[in-house]
Amino acid sequence: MKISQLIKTLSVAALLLMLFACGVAPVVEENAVIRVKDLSVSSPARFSQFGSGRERYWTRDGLMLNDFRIFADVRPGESLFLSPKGRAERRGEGSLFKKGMDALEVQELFVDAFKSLGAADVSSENLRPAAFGARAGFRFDMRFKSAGLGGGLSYRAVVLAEVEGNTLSYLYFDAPEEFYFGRDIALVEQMFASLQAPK
Amino acid sequence: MRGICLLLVLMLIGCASAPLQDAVVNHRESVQDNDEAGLWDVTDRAEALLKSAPERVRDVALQSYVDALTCRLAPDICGDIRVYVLRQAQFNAFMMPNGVMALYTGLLLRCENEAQLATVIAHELAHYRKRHTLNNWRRAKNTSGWLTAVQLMAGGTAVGAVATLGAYVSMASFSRDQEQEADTLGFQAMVKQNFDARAPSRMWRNLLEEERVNPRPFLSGLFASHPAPPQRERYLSEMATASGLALANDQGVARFAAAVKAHRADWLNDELARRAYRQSEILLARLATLSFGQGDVALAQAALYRKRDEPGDLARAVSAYERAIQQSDVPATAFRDFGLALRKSARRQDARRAFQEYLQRVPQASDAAMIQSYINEN
Repeated sequence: MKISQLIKTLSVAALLLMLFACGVAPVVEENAVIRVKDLSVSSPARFSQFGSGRERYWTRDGLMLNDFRIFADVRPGESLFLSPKGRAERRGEGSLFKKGMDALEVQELFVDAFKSLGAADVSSENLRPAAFGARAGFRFDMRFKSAGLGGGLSYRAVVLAEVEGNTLSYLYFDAPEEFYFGRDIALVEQMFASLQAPK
Repeated sequence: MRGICLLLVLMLIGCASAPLQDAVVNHRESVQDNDEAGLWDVTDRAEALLKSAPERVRDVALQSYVDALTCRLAPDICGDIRVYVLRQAQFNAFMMPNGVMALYTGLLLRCENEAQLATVIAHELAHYRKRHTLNNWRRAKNTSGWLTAVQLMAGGTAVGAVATLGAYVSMASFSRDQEQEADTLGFQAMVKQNFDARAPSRMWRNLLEEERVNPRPFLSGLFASHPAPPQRERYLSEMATASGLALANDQGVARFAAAVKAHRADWLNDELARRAYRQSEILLARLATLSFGQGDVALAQAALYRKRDEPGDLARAVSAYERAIQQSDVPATAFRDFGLALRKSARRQDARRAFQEYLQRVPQASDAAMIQSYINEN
């Protein structure tokens, strides 16, 4: 990466941070029901919310400390996180959801995507069938470490997902293993249990 | 007055371009220049963080191997060099002026033998000896990116490894002359140790093959630097021919294979995680021709086809898995992934057998419930 590119990247990051600091993020109140396409999840606590359309991000203390996401209807050829397509994605490469992917492949896609984003020691386990609202879904757990000099913070994550027709929908939560994951996982389980996804 | 100004300008130019003495044994003790002392201070702080970076590969055997190879190539200064192996899928290596050398695992994956690894290490050592980074540091101080680079290297930010190390690498993007000098000195150092003189040109040829299918250079900062890779491959090839030693020298295949054996499957998985299918396909086809690690490579080829899933890929994946599972030390997950490829190929009975084989080998597998649900499908 050239220094000029680095400066541009950092400038964009700084602008985003300033925007977040402006306090524009709306708050989701306790017991509020949020709809994302045909999914609905109720909030067992007060969260700040970002995102629109097919994605929502909720956090209590900041996305680095607790990051709950709802993604609905990720289509074949789209990035797992609905991020804009770069050069690789336009060539059909990168962390793209593909038609016909099943639970094992979605789990594998998450691991690959996290590695590509720079996370270290990425692993996943406990893939098992699970209800996704009224639909048949699956869930799995992940572990990874934040990358970088001064990185190495251990994170845990849980994913509840389903592939319906040719689209992927999922709820995702991650938090540092130390303190935050243990504090919030019960709330997350409540959110998973509150999921309404009609057949 | 004009003459005085001209004289001053000439003195300044002369000062800026004064040739540097080579780094000597225990060069740290002889650093007196403010620029160089500042550079060492910043890189020392970056090294302190590098020591605990999660990407660092902590394997005593591999570390001993790269340390010993470094000492073979530079016995006089190897006490001043610390080599860090970093788990990164890119082909890259860099040298810091304070004696820190970083080797990415993507580079180790792509090396065919010890001679090719020696090529890279000797090249980086030449940058250290010639103190090339100091020139770049002085130049960088006159750019707006300098402060950013210092801050990143000092590690006081939450920016990830790639950006942090990238800041360093961008600053250490050497000039055409510096790269050519490092190539030449590196070549001489490795040939002196009886390594195969053809290794450097062969390595560049291999990388060029991969890079041709990638419109945006991924493999390394080495590609971003001059001279252009084809030219580099050509003059290194000419050096090998001129050396007259090309046919008799040491490749160190067995030593290299033993050193990387424990990690190769992980590095192949890292490569596949990029999902850069075209480039990985070329790499894997080449690795499959080597005399070691063929089981791991066959599995990686199967996984590549399964993940890419373009027309014809499932049949290729099934065929590759059929070959891979013949290996005696094949991991149990190969049967699960084989089952997956068969299931997607609508070969349900065969898929069921493969999944059962997986569960038989790992009854306590954490994904057993999911696999059992596949077995129970109609």
